[in-house]
Amino acid sequence: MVDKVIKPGSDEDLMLRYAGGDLKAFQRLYEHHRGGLYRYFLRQSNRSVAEELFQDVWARVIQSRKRYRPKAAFKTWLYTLAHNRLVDHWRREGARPVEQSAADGDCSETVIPDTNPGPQRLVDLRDCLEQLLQLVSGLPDVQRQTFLLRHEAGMSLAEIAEAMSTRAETAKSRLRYAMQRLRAAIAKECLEG
Amino acid sequence: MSEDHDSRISELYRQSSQETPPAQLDRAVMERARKSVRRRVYSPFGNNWLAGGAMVVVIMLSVLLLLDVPQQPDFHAPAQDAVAPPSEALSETRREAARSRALPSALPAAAEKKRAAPAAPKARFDFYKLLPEMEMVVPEGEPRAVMKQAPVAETPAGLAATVPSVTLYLQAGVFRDKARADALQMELTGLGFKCKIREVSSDDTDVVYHVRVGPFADLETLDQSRQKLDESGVETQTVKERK
Repeated sequence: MVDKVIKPGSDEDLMLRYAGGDLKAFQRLYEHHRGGLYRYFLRQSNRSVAEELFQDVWARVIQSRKRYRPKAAFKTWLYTLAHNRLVDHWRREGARPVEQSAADGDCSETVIPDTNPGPQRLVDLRDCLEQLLQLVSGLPDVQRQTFLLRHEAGMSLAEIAEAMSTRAETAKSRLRYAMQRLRAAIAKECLEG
Repeated sequence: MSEDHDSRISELYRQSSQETPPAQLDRAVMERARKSVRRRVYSPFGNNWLAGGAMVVVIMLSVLLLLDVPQQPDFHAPAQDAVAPPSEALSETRREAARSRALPSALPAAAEKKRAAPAAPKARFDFYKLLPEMEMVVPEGEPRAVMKQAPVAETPAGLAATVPSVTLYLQAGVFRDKARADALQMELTGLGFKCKIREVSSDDTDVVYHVRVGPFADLETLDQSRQKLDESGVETQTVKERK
């Protein structure tokens, strides 16, 4: 594998600069990804678990700073760590994320019905936003992860495939199914904008 | 139509998904990053500890080579010094042990000659007294081991041929799920480690995937990598593969 050409100011450049001891570079890098990574975990677990996993992933980044090699995009590496950490968490807990979320006070009613629940009266945008977040949390694991990597990390299908160790076609299908489920479940008024 | 709806959903999601980590979480991460940078230890070789280590080894080898000149004073001769240092007795014990390890028939003629030779001019430097502790007699034709007392003469020549050669790896994980093995491989590759996945099946239905870092030429490099992986939070165990 050949190392990528590093553009100044890119995430990869910032990570390499941090590896050399530049703390401000890390600060910028953290700023780029703190929100997306935090929400990636928040949509898939409760708040305290999300915070723990978020911190763990950054700790891993910090620990590995001197050995970081920009063979893939930093973002892909970061979310690969996040994906692995999350799967590891589920395995240790022995719990399905949807069940866990449903049992958790922070994210109730996260399981969506398989079919369209029918017309609902949603009076304003806030209701649409709340419903959508619940629907996203209730997606099947791989669909939800694909959706979040696309929308929180802004990753391409190829990057998603790499982070989830699958093929680009599979990532594309998962994203399509996720969007289908959301379209089918969300109130019609929300789609009319 | 569905594409429009997808765009609408994406737009709604962007509007809805606005949470950010709490301030104390930001502080905790930044503090950890700061500590990691501060923890650097001063070294005359900067961050390049490998170069530093190599330099130390080169210096040690140079000193040993300088000491191992052919026409040096005979340090095997009976000690004529009136005041032998306390370590002399210990040195002799080690020398005897080295002699007994070496096969008598294989003793180099030069070494025998050295031992039988009359006392040469008295050693002028104290460090010559230390030399016998470092020297090891090995059969002719065998490489001289000067760095450590590896019992080269102890190993029968035929043994190496009978022991199957193995390759050393560090095993980072075993998975039934290939995707998880791939993910770990990707993570380790991102950290700069060379690694592979080995598919192991006990029968057709039971397949597991071993994620292994390596191969390593020797235990020293294996230990270095193990330490680095450990620092990165990856636990490993040493495994051997037959070549």
